[in-house]
Amino acid sequence: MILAVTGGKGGIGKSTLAVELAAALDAVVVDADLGMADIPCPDSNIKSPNLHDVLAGRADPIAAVRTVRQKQAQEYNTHPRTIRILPCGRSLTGARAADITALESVLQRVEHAYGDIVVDCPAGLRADAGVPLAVAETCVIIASPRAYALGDAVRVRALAREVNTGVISVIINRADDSSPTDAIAETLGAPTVGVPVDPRIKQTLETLHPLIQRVPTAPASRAVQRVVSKIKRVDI
Amino acid sequence: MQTSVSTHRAANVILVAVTVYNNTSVDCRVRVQNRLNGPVLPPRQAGIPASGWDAAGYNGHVPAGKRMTIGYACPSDDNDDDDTVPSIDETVSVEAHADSIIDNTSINTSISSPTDAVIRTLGRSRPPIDTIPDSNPISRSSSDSPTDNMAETPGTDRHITSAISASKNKQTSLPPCVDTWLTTIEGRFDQSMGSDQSVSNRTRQTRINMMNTTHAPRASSKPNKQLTEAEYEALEEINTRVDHIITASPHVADQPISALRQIATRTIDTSSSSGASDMQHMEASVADDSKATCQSRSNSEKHTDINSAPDRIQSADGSL
Repeated sequence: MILAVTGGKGGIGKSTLAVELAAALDAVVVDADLGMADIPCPDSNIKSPNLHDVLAGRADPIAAVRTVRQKQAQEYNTHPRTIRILPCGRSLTGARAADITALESVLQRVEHAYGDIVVDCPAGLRADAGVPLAVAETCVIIASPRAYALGDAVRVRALAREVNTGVISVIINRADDSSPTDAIAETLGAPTVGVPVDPRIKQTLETLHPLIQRVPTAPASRAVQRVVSKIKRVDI
Repeated sequence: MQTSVSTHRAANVILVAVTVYNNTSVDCRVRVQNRLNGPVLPPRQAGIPASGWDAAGYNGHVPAGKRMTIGYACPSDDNDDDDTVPSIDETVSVEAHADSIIDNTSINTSISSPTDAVIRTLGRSRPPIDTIPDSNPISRSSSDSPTDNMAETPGTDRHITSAISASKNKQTSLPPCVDTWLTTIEGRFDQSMGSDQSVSNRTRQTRINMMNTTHAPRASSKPNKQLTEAEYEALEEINTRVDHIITASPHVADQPISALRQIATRTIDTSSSSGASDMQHMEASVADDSKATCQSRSNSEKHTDINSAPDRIQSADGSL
């Protein structure tokens, strides 16, 4: 399964929740933000191939997937686990050289080799955001409870409908009791889950040790698990 | 179904236009097949062939009573200089079927991938070429390894150096070849000074004073043993010609004057061989430059018409 994590607006937690979902699904997370990549890859070095190189035809997609072993397992009294990442380069040269038309075949090869994929889509509504969404079998829309950000979620929902990709769930990130969950669910036409604010989730991208593995009982982790259960009911 | 085909040869390319008029009472699907000896070059959207096109032709839909017009190009291997174009039968074949009896297999071959459809609709999103520090196509084409790409990652030394260089080149108004040549000579000159402080970090006046007290008269003046005879003569020639151009061109805008004056100033700076009179001229030139800048800025704030340019030039150089 190829699952796209999208949201239209930047800075609402798409990358963080993509890593959380990938960890919960034991999937490869692909950073498809060709222009402004977010997901770090500490186990790789600067010479390691990335998605820019893969899309430019300079590297094999299977070789570009990195396995990151979590180093803070003992601190959280959890078993050491790994997370697989296909990172994206951060250079403008690489972003320009990357051929977005190759993304579909790249994702299919990675899926064939490793299984499920969670694609972290970029913000915006251009082709770099639309192609991963079109290639994916289903998607999760990340929305912000802020009123000014909901319009972007609506636009991404329309884009998903345009490219025939179903929305399996909407995640309202940093939700609280006042978040209009029901209204968003009705507007976007998909089940909605609110992920409450948790300062510890900031470390997910910094350490690549997802909260769902560090503190599985945290409310935010439970919310992610609810989304994962919806996904698993549909596919996998 | 009525079909008209027109062809036009341009250089070694044949441009084909096909118009299909559906004079029936039912909608039809149409297949236009290229028969020319060459690949089909279809119209493109965002670099992707337009919807309906494939390697051999076009699949389209013509409603009843409507008209459809398409066009494509086809390279021709013929080197004929005349304007002969192939006949209609040699150019395309047009097949039409009513919607109800269309073969689904043939339809599916014309449907492009979701990726292509998205790119056509949304447009590509790539950083513009101007944002890339090293946009030399030769150097970029030679980098065929992933590491070459990564070396330009923002934040690396190479990236910073390129960015600084690009910024510096933007600030100067000198032609690139002139600037490169003078910078090369200046670099050797600065190195020969043996200073523990970069000359480029000093103020211009400090530099003038330093050179004025350091260097001997013209006869022994090759202050830098690394400055070749040819370079020295070239610099003097440039100095003379720039002075001549400035003197003979009173009605040009102040921007070229500034560039020429910069060349002259750098030439004198680098050669440092013109003696006391030239040094005085240089000091005056530097003072005039700053005066010109202030005056020019003042004038541009007050007047935007070109008529003020001679005034600026006149006030920019008291010797003119």
